Amino acid sequence: MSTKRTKGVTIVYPIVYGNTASLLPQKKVPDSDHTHKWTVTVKGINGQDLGHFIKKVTFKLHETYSNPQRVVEHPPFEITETGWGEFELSIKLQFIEGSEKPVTLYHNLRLHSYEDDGSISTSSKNKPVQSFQYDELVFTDPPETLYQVLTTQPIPTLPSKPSNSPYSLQAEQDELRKIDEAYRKVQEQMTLYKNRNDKITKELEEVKAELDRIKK
Amino acid sequence: MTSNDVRDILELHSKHLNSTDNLTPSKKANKPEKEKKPDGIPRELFQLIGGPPPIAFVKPAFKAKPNLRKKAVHWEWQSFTNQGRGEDDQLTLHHWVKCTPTSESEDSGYWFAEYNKKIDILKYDDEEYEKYLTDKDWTKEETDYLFKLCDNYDLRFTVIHDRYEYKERSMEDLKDRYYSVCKKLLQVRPPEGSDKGALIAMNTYDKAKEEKRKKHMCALYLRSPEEIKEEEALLEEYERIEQNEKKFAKERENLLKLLSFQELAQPKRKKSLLSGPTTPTMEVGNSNFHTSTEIPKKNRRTSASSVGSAVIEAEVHNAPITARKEKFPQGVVVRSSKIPLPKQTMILKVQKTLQEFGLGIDMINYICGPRPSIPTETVCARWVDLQKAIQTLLDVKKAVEKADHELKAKKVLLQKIKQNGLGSASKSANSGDAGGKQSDVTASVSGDGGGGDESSVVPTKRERITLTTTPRDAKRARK
Repeated sequence: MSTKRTKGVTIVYPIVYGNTASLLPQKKVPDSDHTHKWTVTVKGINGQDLGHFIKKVTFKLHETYSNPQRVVEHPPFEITETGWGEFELSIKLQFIEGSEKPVTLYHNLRLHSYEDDGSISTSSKNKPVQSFQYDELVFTDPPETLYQVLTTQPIPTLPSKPSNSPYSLQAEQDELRKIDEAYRKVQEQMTLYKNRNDKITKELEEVKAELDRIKK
Repeated sequence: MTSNDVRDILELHSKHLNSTDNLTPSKKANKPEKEKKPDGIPRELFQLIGGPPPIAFVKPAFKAKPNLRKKAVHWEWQSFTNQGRGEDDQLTLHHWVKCTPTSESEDSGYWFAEYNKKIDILKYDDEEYEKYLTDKDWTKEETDYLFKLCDNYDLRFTVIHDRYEYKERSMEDLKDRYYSVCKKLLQVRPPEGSDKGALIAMNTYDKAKEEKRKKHMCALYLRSPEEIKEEEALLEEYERIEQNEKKFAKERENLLKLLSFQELAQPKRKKSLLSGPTTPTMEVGNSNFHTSTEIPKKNRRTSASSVGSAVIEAEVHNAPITARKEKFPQGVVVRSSKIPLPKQTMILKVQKTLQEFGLGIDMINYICGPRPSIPTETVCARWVDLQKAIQTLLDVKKAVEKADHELKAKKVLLQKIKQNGLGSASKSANSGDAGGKQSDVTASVSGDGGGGDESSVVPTKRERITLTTTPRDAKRARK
């Protein structure tokens, strides 16, 4: 069981995970207090399934659910359930190569749509709510099996423009721009504060000196 | 005449009248009897036992009974001569001899005579002497005399040397002469069957060596106790050094290896390394008396460092390009989880700041802090830098605010002093400092508006002044 690692090789595989939720029409199941139906998925950025290198995915739901540990061993890696509350769930990815440790992702299940400031929006109840995250799996020195699989199948790249998913190269650029902008501003502030600090220390010294003189 | 009359005449006092006479002997007699009774045992018992016995070691003498059964043996006084004494001597000696039926007569000879062994030393004639044995230091007469003595005294050189009366010669001289003569004779004479080589070898005498050896022996014998101790200590140390030599050699090797590795790995500290290792190796070298190996080692080190520096320079050039590359451990990693979290106290503040910039929005309290929405390689790297910068900025802000407050407090104090005069200076100085500090603690700001209002201190005039400035400062900071 010697798994040789291809040294010096790093493979990056972008994924998207998250959930969609839709309000249940209340007629169907009047007994339960489940108000929403939601689906948690783990996929490639363009919707590709990850079955070629992921063996199984374990979704750990809230303990109030029966069988909170849901294991999915074949693509599509997703869980559909109904519920009424939002909670955090963990998604554990196990790879076809057993020697690689499984990776855990966390996601806050979102059922209600929110305004920008965090308050629940009362309007647009009909639209399904989506909450997804982009992330990258970084394979450092992958073992042979994974290396084979990952190099043969094409790795999805970020589309240049946003289409059905909000993740694109353009978005990345936007993010970068924002970050740089923020960085610049921070530096500006920093210099401002530094100047102020210098001034203050100078003044402070003067005042201290005066006080000492008066004391004497 | 009774004894009493006699006593009267002699003016001796009667026994009975004079009680003192009676008492003194009886006292003396009683004294030894009245021993102090020990406490442990009752009186009667003590008188019976008589206390502890006196300590007297009496050797258990085994007296064998004389064997009186046999008849007495007859001994005879006989005369004899000792055959070992030589032919000239006709000394008659006497001794007691037991008369047993098997005893021999006088004629068998003195029993101990056979122990008079004579060494057959080599003898030379004049011809041989003329040919081989002449020596400038030794005349024939002297050599003959020596040999006679040797024969007489059975090669007991100590005796020979003592009896030697020809010249002033040391024992080594005599020995040397004798053995060299014998050797020569053996070499010259035809072989007599037995191992000639061995005989010659036996007769070799190294005079110088022997003299030296005897001198050493004398010196050794005549050492003082301090000298002996010193020598022993030195020997011990020497042995220890010998034993540890191997260990030291190994350690030295390891040190060198380590140094060469270190130099390759740490380019910046090259200089310090080169100066550093010289001292330990030099010490080690000196202690091990291997100073000769130092120089080649130094050369080795410098060559290693030059190679190392070349490698290091190459690495350094590549470093800025590849520095950004993820230094992830082997295995799979989720990139967003690898973003370093800011300090616990600062997490919220940092997040707020980021949100102000429009970053990290639509995140609802993740375990792994604020994260970019598209965490690619470059994004993550810049994100980390940004986070760091924000953190430092917040720290600087805090420090500045603090200093600012301090300054303002002091300024107000100064004003007051100038107004009121020096009388109230000390009082106001003390309270001013305390007030200033408290307001700092409560009013430390970085975007948290209105934090100063929570102070529980009764605001004095001065403090009120500082408090009212903080919300303005906060607003200023935010903008």
